[in-house]
Amino acid sequence: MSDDVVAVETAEADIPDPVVGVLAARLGEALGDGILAWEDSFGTLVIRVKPDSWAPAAEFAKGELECDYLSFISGIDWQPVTRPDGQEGSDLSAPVQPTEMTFGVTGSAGRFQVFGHVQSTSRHWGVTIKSDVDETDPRIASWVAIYPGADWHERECWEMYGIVFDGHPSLRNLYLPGGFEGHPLRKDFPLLAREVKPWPGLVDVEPMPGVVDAEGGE
Amino acid sequence: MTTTQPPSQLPGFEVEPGSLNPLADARLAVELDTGDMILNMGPQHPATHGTLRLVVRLDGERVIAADPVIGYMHRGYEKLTEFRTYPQITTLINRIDWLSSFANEVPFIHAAEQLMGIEAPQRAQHIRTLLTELSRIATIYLFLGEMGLQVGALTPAFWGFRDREHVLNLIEGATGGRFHPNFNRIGGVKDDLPWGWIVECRAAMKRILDGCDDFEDVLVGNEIFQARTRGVGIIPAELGAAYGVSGANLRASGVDWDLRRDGKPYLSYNELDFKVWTHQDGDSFARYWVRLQETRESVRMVLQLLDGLASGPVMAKVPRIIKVPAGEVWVETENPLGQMGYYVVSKGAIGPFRVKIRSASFSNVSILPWLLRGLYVPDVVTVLGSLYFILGDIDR
Amino acid sequence: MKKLKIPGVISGLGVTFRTMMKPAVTVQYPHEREDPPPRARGVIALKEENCTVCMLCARQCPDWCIYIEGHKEQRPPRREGGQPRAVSLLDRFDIDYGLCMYCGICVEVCPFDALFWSPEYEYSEPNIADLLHDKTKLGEWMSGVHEPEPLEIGAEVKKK
Repeated sequence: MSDDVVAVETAEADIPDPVVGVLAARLGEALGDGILAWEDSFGTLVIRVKPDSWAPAAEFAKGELECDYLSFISGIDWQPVTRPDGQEGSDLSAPVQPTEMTFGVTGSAGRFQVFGHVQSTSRHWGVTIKSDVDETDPRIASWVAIYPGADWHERECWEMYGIVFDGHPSLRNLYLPGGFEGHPLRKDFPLLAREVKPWPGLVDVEPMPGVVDAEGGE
Repeated sequence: MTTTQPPSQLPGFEVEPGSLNPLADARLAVELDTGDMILNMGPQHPATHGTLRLVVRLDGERVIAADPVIGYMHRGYEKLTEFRTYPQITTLINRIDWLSSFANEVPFIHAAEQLMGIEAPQRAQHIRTLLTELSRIATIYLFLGEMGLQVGALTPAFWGFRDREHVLNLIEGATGGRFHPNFNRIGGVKDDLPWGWIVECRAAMKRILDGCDDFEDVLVGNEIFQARTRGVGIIPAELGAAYGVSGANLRASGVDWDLRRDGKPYLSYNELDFKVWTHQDGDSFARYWVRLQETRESVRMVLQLLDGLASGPVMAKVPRIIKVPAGEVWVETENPLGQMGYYVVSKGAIGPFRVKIRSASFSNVSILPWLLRGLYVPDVVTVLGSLYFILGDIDR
Repeated sequence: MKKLKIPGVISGLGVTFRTMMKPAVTVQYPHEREDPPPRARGVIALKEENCTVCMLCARQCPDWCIYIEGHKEQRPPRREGGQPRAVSLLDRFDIDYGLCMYCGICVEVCPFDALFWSPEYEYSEPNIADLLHDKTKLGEWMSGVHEPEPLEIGAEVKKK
């Protein structure tokens, strides 16, 4: 792939953003060993904190770092999707992801993570905060007391992943009807629209009569 | 009510956390207590811009508590993106905010290009900026018309649709689709502009400017409009930011923040000279006024771009089968409705592993339970109109 | 020059009066028609002789709305003494326009230029099931396909 692509190296890509380093240093001072890893991902600081430091990180960001704006809070499920490749009717055009569980920037302890992005409208910087969530008992602190907008984001995260936010006033479904079972964005929840309909992209060309095909079919 | 406390702690308006739950679930029998009335501004309602359901508890005509119920248009975009390739996702995400659909593609394609380390050629960036600003004009011009509709002025809504057709014809001439352009590709745009497009664009911009002047004469100075919108639905700046309210809604509360100027550079905005409009009041009138000025500013930006349109190719060299390298990137842009962002997690395949779609209207509407308290029912309609959300943007 | 302070309602009425004097912009369809621009994505047309049943369009369609069936036939060799060639021919090429989202991915990925956009938009049906159009109908729509139009100043001139 790298032979075909003419990658235009911009000046930005080479020079690391100094603001990211400064933010990381200040967060490191405040949270100490609560920070597990941090990285500069395309000019944005991504830090991974311990679950106990999830709310203190937001408080520090809101207070000291002047990050008054909540962009979003969401979750991620790192488990690979098990797809029946090569079976009859299977969809060969959907992307094939790696079958082993790999984690992204700053790594992860397990299957579930929550991540949120907060920004400063005055200082024009932002930080993405990630934290691991236990798979068997997915709970983490809520940010509602710090950012009131976290209300809806945490409700959505609860209904899509099943992650419970301690301290949230009323964790109930946001999009899905009341009696919905399951948490749709988890990787083991199938996308039914694609399971129900047979894939029309199967090579359905019949070989000529009397000629043995390459595969040995008639 | 200039406070940043979370809603449940404000005096006089305490709401028990679980009490609105049975209201929203219509299958359960609801025991009505005397004194309060529960009004269901149901999913089909002319004022709610689509399938938004507002369950409000009223005392007479005043709202005590409001609970927006969303999800009637939930299409499961984030699940869908896990099963589709990048070109297929580009066509899908047009439909998130369907009025400014070109602007939805831009941050996603920008994210994929950042992960790949490709930069689109300059003419492609100019064309993308042109089309983004045109979709901004189309979206906000419609708002200018139908905000009048929300407060009772029926005529400007028709003008909004009429003049918007010129902009949509431009977008259709370039991309092939009025509402869903599907024009961005990783590495550039699909096609170049057709012959005669620039001249038509200038003519359309003149019409839009005349239309903005008409709106100013008809609505902004109108005493009835001012009485309906001044002082209604004031969003304090810090609270708005804490809720994630963005775009013109936050700028109308005095926050001078525009991602085209203040965020990471994207498209050709660093080559343009434009002003970011703010207003200090934070009420519905301020939101209308800011959007009116923003439309005029967008027209000026389009004219600047037309004067300085670069020549050259519109597509960088990309491989036939595009595999985006592994990584995570967050790209945010100033969409007509607010801040839109994509957090793309890629594992090196032809499609992403996870895409978190941060849509503007989701956060804009999340402030409604706080904002609607103490308002009269007609003011609820004014506030809903002035926040300007699109249901596809809320529900994805 | 100081403007007279006109009440807002009056200046609004002035705009209304001016608009009343202008002609209406409504196009009285179906008596008059506005033609969409040549690039408009109205319907997808199929040029059957170019199709080699490679199935790329059916695979890349996000909605799974293209149904293709084909068979192979023997053709005589191109030159004397060569091998007889097997060509794939279409039996069935259906596009379900009830599912199609008019994205154009099929038109773009086709390596043999068998699919084209046409600005034709008047093909609505009373039943949704009738929106499944077969290759005959798709071939008829080829008559509406426009030639690629000239591009704006500054566009790169592609060498064929």
